[in-house]
Amino acid sequence: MAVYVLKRVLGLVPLVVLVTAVCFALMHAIPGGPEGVLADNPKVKPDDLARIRANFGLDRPLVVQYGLWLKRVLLHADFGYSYVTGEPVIRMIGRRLPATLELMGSAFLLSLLIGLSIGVVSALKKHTTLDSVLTVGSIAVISVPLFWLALMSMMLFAVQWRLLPSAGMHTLGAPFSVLDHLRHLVLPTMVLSLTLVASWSRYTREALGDVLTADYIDVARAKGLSNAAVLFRHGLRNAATPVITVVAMSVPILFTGSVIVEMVFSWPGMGRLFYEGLLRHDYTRLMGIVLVSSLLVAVFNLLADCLYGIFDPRVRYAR
Amino acid sequence: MGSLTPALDTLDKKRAKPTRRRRSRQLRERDLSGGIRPVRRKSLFGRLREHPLSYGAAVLLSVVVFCSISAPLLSPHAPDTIDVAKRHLPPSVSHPFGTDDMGRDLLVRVMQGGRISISVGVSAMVFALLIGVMGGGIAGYFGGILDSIVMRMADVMMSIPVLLIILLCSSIFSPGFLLLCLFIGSIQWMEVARVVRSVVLSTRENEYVDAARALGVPDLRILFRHVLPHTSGPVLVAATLGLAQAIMIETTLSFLGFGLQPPAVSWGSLLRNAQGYLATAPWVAIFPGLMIFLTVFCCYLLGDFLKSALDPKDQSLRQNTARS
Repeated sequence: MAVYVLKRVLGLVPLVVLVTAVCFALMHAIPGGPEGVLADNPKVKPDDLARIRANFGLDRPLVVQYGLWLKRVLLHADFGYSYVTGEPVIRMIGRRLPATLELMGSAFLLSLLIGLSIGVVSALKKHTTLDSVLTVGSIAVISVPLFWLALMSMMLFAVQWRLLPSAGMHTLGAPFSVLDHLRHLVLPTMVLSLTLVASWSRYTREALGDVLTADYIDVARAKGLSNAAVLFRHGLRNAATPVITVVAMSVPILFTGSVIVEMVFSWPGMGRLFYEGLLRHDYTRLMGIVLVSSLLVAVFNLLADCLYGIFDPRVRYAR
Repeated sequence: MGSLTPALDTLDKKRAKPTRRRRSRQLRERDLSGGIRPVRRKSLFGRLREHPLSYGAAVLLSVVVFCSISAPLLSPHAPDTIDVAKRHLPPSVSHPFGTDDMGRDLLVRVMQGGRISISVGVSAMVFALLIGVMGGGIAGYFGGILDSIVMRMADVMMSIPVLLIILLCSSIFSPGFLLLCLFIGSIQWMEVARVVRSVVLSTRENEYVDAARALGVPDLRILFRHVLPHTSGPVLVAATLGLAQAIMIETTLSFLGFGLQPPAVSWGSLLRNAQGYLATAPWVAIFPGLMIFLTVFCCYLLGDFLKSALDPKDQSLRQNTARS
């Protein structure tokens, strides 16, 4: 198992290289280069600019710069300073990350719970009316643009029916209470999880449907096992691998989705930080967030790989 | 004189043909093949007609595309004239979708937006297909190091939040039409490449590929003439799904303000200001989003239909035809 995990960790190297290289290249593609934003500032004189360039090593060859930058990013988590506020980017992200992780975590758990249950139900009732309704329904849900879903749910639940608060993490001016916080969490979580529910339930249906036609399921039934035992011990365990793949591959969707959801619902997380950075052309901040999200996604993929190893012993010995 | 004999011939044939057919049908119905009755495959369109949901989706999609293309001819109002007196009129007969915060007719704006959203979607999808088919074809046909480079690249791109990178690029370059399509296409080719690669891997093992190689046909020519045409079915499916996703990405980008810049309108940018008027003018938020939803939904339904219709192993649609 240790060898297997080590191999998976090495497998992340291309990902890290590609993402960092793209970010580095983009930083130098900005008109005027990484210091281009400063050049627009009338208070910054040309010799200041030259000094800044020398200080940051921007006059050295690109490959050397990339190496130095990579070292700073990976070893010291130093993404530079925000062009707008002058604050270290990593500190800005660190402040906003918990809110995002809370939102994504609750959306993730909710979609896992609902998506898998719907998937299991439609796999067990395959080719019935219920199954086709659920299938068409999930296609419909996947087709709803996330930002429109956010707007519509805000319109219905917050504006029309006044059931839930429309924005923020808690009521302004009110003392902190868990209930108030949870009420604010409901709408963003629902919106963020709905697309995931739809796609995960479809994949669970496919995976479990394939497994349930296998011979060993018949054998398990013939042994006299109860339906529940067949489903959980033999069905779901074997269907787990493809489902884990899809779940791991949806994690990037959580990050892009959080940008939209946090923007619409004014949730003070990393996604909103990213959106504000876009509006202000704060490139160091944007790079930092792209890198942090990619690394977090990589960690998730690694976890998924380890889960394969647990659920499916064959994977450990392959290759 | 000479014309009489052929006429008789055809008469004979007309008489002979039904009997021959009937005999073969009797043979078939005697169930020689263990319960599986061979059924003549219908044309794609014929099968579409028997599937009400997919047929409806195709019709609706055509209507949306037609209305968007012919927007300048159909629109009863000017798309850009600002008339503050008509600000936020609710839907009525003269303004079926109502008016927006500048007093412009929303139906006309939605039709204009459809032009951009659909054309960006189609172009981005074509671009994604080009890269995907080339990349997947080369990876599958040549294998080895090329294969690992292309597929490793696809894996990596599938497992990072690419939309964030595209947003970052749009913020840096503020793209025009072509660049925007390139951006969107460049994050969509991976699925196509994977599908094409898997088809190519099995197709290149055929004898006719060996035959072509023995004749000294160059590799690229074999790839294009004898291998890639087999991927047309899966590629068509991928194209339909890719169109849906491209429209989704384009509208998301323009909703966030990083698609095409005004005066160009897209379904996404129409929703950009809608959030402030959810209480007073909800139609501004409802209709453009509804159009995105309908278009994407129709594409997905069609893609789902094509997937089972073009897959020779899929029995669900065949059974439908057999019963009818």
